[in-house]
Amino acid sequence: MKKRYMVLAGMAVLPLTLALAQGTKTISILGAFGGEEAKTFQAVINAFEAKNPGIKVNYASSADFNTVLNVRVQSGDYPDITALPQPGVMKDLAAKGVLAPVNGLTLAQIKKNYAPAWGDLGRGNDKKIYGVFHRVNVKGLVFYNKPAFEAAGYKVPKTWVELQAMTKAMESSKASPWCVGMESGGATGWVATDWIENIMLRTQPASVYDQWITNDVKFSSAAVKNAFQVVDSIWSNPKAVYGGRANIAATNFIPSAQGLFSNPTQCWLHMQGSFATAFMQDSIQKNLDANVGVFVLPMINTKLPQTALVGGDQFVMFKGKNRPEVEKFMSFLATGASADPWIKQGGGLFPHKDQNAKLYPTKLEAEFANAILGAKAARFDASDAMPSAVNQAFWKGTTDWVTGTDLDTVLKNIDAAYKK
Amino acid sequence: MTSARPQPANNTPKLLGLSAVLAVTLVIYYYVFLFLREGTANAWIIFAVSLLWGIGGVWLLFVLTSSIVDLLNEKWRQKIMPWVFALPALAMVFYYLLLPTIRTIYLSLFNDDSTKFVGIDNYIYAFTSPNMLESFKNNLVWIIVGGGLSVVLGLLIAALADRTHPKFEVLMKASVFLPMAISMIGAAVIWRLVYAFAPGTEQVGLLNAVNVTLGGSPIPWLNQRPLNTYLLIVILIWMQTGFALVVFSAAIKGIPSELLEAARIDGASELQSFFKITLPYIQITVISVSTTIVIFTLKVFDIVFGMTGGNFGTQVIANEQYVQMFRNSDYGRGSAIAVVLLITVLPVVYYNIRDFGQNAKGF
Repeated sequence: MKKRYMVLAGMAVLPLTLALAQGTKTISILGAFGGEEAKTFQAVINAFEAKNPGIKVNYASSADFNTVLNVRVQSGDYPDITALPQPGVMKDLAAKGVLAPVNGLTLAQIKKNYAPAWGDLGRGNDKKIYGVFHRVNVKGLVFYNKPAFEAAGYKVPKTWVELQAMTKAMESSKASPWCVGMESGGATGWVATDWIENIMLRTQPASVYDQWITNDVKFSSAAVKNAFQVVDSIWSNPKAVYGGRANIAATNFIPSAQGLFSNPTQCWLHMQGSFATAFMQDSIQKNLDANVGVFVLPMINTKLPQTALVGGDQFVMFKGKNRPEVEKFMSFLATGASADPWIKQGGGLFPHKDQNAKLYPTKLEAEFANAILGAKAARFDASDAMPSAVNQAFWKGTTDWVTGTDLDTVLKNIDAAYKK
Repeated sequence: MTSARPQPANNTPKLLGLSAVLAVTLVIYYYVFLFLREGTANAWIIFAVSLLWGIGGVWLLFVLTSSIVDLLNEKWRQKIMPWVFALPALAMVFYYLLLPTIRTIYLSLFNDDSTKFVGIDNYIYAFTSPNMLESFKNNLVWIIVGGGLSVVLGLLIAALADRTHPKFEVLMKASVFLPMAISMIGAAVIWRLVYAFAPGTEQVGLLNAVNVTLGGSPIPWLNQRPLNTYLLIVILIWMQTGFALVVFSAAIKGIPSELLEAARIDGASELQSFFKITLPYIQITVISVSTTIVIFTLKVFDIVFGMTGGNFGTQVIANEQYVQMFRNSDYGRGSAIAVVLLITVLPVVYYNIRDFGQNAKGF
């Protein structure tokens, strides 16, 4: 009998020791970015922890982020904060009532440090601000091999007509005008949706672009169909794309960015977001300013104002997790002080007005940041702003389209993903 | 009936007391569980404490329940004691298998976030949407071509290897069996390199390297419909033939040599003795292996997920379910597809178990 009581006493003691072992205040963050980017984010966390002793921030990432987040939300096992690359997901979660809106202090920081558009992008359907944007990117940039481009005597085109004339001339050179690769595992298709979105913003007013996201302008409408046809006119021309159309869906998006600098050179131009510099060869990344040139894809309908296509991660808090230390971290993210450590290390652009832009290690990044801060009008990546089922259908639809399904069927299938 | 234990005149108060202790213990367990789950201490400390707490907890539960049962009279004790032992296992089967199945069926009748009853809408989707029709068609190809060839090749190699030198037979069987040791997703990674494609003359992919050396131009294999589904099935055959081979080989070894000798003396050709003696003799093994592989092909997921992600017309039911459930967070459609898959697999599972039962008298 004595043994029994000893075991019982032991069991009683166990939770007590654990209660004493409860650590400092911790904040758990779940995000989609890992590897090198997660390491750089640690510098941001370190800056916060140095200012707030007693608070520990744990960042965890998952390669299959959307799945992990979905499962955790479904089971009620929330992290404190998550970094969402897709505003559509933020709106879904906010509508489900699992997010907590930011508090007054963070709200004030957002008002002070961001252009109004970024605050609006963080709003749920109930108009409350849930998201704090941190690292962002700008899309629709055309990268080129600076030394080769200049040696061949090409000039940066200012209009769509000039661009077309230049690519026509490039077709007779040894390299193709464009490198396009859209293979991306389970996310195959996003490169194509980026192309379509960029063309939409260059052929249609921003209001049509907004209605397209909400399906008030259908995929099967003339406006969207036209954007597909513009992309098709480039991609279906075997001379215009390296390897021809068949190569597009078979090539991963990372090697396709390396085609500019490969030996022999595969292509002259590569359209991608500002993050594409991270995909380039190590030797190129060592001296980006000397090797890489960039211009913004020109407007097709010149009567429209230039509108930047942007993307980025917004941090949101979960309901019931808005403890004081979590609120503190959120308001920290809304200040330039949270951007500076990442800016210094490179590989990230930030929308904060109070960031120290002098810290960008390359001129290229400073230029990108300038484009973001100076943009008169900006629109978020449309596919990421659409409901997640539509985003999936859009990805799959473009992939089918590139590999041979006819356009009308594809557009009809994507429209069908909007239900109710 | 003579009982070894003396029965106390009235142990009702003790019984009630112990039951109360049991109830209190269960409540404490629940709160400690919540406490451990929310714990913010070092993960290793939580792990160690949970482990010790769990072991001690199970022991205490057992002591309490068995003391309660001990207080009952002989008749009830005999009836209840087996349940005290079996209940934890039954509870786990219920909680981890039966309950999720029931919940999946329940969720399949609701909308994407399970807030609105939609009747059979999700099932209409499961049987009419282009993605699902494509998946049904592809799964059928997987069963017929993938399952069929795995079984036929396994049988053929087993029968032929049986006639070779024992050392060669071992080598042969080992090399065919080897891919079984690789995980599905690992195999997908390996075969991505076989099917890899790059325009131009320099090829990383084995198949395209051969193709280009022979004077062809490189082909993006995984985008070629309907060929790509068959190329994915090759991976399954590569992996599953080994399984079929080993089982068949063992069965063939079990055929009494007198039977085959008698057939030969009677003048039967090799083919005749294979079809008239070997095959009927191992018939039950063939059925078990075939049904196992059919279940496997119905549920095929990893290969498609790892190679094409279901793009380019290679979608299968299990991957479509994953996409609907976890990428689109449509729990209604995802659950409906899971139920459809379950219903498709059930008859095969039943056939498989029934067959094993006749064989081993296990059921």
